[in-house]
Amino acid sequence: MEAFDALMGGFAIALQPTTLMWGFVGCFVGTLVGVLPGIGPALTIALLLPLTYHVPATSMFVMFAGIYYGAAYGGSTTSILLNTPGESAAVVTALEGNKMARRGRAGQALATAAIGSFVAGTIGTLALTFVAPWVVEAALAFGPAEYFSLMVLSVVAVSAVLGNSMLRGLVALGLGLLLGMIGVDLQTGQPRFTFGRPELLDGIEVTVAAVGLFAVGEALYLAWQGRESKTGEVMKLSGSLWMSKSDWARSWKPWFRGALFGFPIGAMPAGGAELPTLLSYYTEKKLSKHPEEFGHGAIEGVAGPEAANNAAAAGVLMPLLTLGIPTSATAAIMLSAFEGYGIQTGPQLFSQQGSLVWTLIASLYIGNVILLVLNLPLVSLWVKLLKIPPPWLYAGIIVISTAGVYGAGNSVFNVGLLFVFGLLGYIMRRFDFPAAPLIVGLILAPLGEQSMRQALTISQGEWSTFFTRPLSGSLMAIAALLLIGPALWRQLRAKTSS
Amino acid sequence: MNEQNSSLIQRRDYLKWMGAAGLAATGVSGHAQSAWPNKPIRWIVPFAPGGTSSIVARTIAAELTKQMGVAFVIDNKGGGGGVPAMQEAMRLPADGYTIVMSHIGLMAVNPLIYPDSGYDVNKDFVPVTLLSRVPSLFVVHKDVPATDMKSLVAYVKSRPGQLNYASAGNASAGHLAMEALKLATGMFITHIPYRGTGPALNDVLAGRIQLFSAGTPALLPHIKSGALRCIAVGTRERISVLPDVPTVAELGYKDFETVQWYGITARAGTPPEILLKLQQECAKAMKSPEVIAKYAAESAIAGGGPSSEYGAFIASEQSRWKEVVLKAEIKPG
Repeated sequence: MEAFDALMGGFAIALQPTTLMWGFVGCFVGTLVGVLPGIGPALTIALLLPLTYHVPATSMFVMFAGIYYGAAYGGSTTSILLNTPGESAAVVTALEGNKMARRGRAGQALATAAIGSFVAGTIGTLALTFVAPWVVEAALAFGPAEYFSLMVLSVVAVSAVLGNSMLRGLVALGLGLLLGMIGVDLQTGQPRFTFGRPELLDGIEVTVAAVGLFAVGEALYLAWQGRESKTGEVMKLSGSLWMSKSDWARSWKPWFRGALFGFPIGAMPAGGAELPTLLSYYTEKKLSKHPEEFGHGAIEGVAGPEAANNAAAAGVLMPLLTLGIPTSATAAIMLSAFEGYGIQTGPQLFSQQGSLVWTLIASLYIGNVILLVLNLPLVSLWVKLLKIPPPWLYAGIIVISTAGVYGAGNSVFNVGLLFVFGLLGYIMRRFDFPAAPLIVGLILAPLGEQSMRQALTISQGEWSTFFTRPLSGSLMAIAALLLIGPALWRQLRAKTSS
Repeated sequence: MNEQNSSLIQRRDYLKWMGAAGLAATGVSGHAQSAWPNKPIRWIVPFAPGGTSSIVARTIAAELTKQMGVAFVIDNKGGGGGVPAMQEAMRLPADGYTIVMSHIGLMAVNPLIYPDSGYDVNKDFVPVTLLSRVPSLFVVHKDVPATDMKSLVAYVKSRPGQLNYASAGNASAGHLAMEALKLATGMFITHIPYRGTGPALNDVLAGRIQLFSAGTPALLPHIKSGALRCIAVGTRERISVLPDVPTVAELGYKDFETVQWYGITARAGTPPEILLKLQQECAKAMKSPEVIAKYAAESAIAGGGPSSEYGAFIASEQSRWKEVVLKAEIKPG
């Protein structure tokens, strides 16, 4: 209970009126900027961190925790309301969330996302408090072979997001995988498909592709349709904004399961927040009592991935604090923030700067609570976004996306890329190709290829490394089971019944 | 990924400083309008923010801003091995209002591996001054049965090609340092490139990878905790934070030196009096307590010498790494 006492000490420092006020400011600003497409949590924190240097360390931590979780949460808002995810981790949320909004259930979707984020964020922070050493140990056990097996498992899980037509879904996935091959070959240094453009050496940025396909693509699609604006509203809202009893009953398990995916994968060096959202979506679709609702606005499909996304945000802090390894763009920015306050992350962090770290962790709890208190009332404010006439709203989205993408990399090239993907998104929408598999492919291809080749180099070309290593082998077995299991099961049932 | 998310900080700083510079300019409008510098100076850093390079640049930029009364605005332009950053500098006038942070990869390695970049680092750019040198360390995982360079070389030679070393990517400073060590010692150990120091460090800490070379800031905490063992340092002299660890050179590999270095480079054609002034101001900045403290924390070695010295240093690094790059057949990444 040593950790508990230390945490209480942290709370005592963090729970002071002025400190709490900074927490509110952080949550509000974090959510607000997290909402804007193209401006993800990394950019938000980068943008706001210079501000925090002007406040005392503890206030800064609380504010910072609010920004961090707030930005992670804010990304879901536009996904749900406008089908325009502001970051790649919110792509899966858009699948069901936007369908819910179209059926007049925007309020419920936002509420389950907000509460799920709170639940998962709290679980993640609890895990950070009490089990950090073990999770770090486990994350270290994840090497290239294990990553590759996780990618294989994820490819199986992609089947959940393929949409109505398997062929179209697979075409989109294949296109994503191919686009993911662009850039320098990590192993040999050979540039591939870069056409002599140094901007393409590092591959296509997933954020640019996601914002282009969804936000810009959606705007172009609406412009092409040109008639939805007759009522002056994007879509109708009907009934209560609040979650019904059945919404609660269908949400709470996905929240917990989402957190279980998000936290450990977020804690892995190459895990990220996208894979857990995908795996959570797949699981919820398979476990749901209403699988037929998936694709038409199933609340589980919002609750799970949103929880996974926020739990991953907590997981990312783990290798950052305990090993000093930043595993995401956001974490890299945070590392420089810590350094600005003289905090040296790494193995000795807890022993050397215990009180600061526990204040930070206490701040994460407080930030989560503030976020919930702040966001539930905001739900009714956000849905008012839908009352803005579409021409204004979507023109605004295009402006913000363009500014966000340009600001993120100072790169005109990326802005061009944004509109290429916007056009592609429009064409895919027009001809009914799902965009989510493309994004998933774009994420999986470089990670999968890299981990496969690293694993094979380490094993000196032995393919068996993927099956003989216990963790990797188990993941492969699960993937195989999920792939052929259902078909086998059906056949078996058909035989016994005939 | 980590190339994004940088520049809004800079944009914010820029606007703030533009405002400040505007105010300052109205105060002194009577005289010296044409003297350099009279407007903010853009400092292109060819890396994502957060790394050693950014810390060095930011610390010096803050000092220069204080000393010279105009803002030095950091413009992080990462990715593409630094080629886009240099191409950006090529588009801007050689008037002393754009400077580039130059480093080992940009000056000594890129010319060999990106022949079509559209610029020549030696003809299109001129050295201003060296800012810092960061020692590179050679570490092994704690379970590797080697306590010094001699036993390490023997251990690796007894298992040719079966052991691995990690790097932050093809043509990264750590990759070069390891290839130089391989050439010097004649060992055969396989290169496993990662995307950045973090993921590479993870697999080294887990013991999947035996050997690793990186700068002091990333490795020191793990050496102190005992997870990694430092076999040697790549500098000419021993470093103060690890006084018991020998240099590679003193172990019998004469002239061996691998450091990560950072300096300031400007466009060729920048007036020489501007270059001289900038170098003198940098030398002055090196003596400020803030810079001394930051450098000590990173165990970095201060620069600030005349531009001719930096030019000679770049030339020596170019010839040193040309040999390594050609012999080891290093390609971009």
